[in-house]
Amino acid sequence: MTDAEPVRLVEVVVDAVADQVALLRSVAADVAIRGDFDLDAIEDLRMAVDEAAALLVGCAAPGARLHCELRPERQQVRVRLVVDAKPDAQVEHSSMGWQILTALATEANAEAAEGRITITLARARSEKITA
Amino acid sequence: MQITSAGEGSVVLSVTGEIDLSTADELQNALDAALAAKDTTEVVVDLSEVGFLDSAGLRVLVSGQRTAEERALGFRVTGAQPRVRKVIAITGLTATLGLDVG
Repeated sequence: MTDAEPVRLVEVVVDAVADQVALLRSVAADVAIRGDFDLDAIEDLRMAVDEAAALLVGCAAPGARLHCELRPERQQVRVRLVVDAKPDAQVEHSSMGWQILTALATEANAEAAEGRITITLARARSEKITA
Repeated sequence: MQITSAGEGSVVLSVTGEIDLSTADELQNALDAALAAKDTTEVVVDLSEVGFLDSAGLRVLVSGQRTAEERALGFRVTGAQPRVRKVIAITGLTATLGLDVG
């Protein structure tokens, strides 16, 4: 045994449409369940990924695909979601979706570059977040 | 997601399932219909069978509340499970949506 983080990257690619958001949040929750995360952390991650995916669906160029990478680590799950964006689209930090995402994730960031928008987030294994 | 509507005057919309970006429109349509019915005095949205509610669903509930207010009708949300209650609290909408305490 070594102390290195086990690498078990999960990648999911779906059409960037509303109907696919449920699939992404379910995969995210499943990754946390398999990592034996607390129930609160599982549900917070499910909701954070849902909001991130929904925000990116709103920014997506016609026909775009939504790429989602989930990286389970010992103390957290890291998630990176990327979409090809329509011109001038951006993640509105004043939106209710971003408000929920940033409240439930232990880290969250959105950036636009080269016609793509990327949201990265992480949810720790057991940090308690209360509303 | 499924929605059943019961009552006249005081209309109860009972929602079952998950309210998200793909189902919020359906809830919007049901709310619009309930708020537009001529005998309606109050709309109650029962979320006791809703396991998941995100910002798309919250936007619909807030718009329903605003429409009800404009028409001097009652509006409230009942039965929210702890997870749903948490999301509503994060967005500061607990009082706006008339969420019952407890």
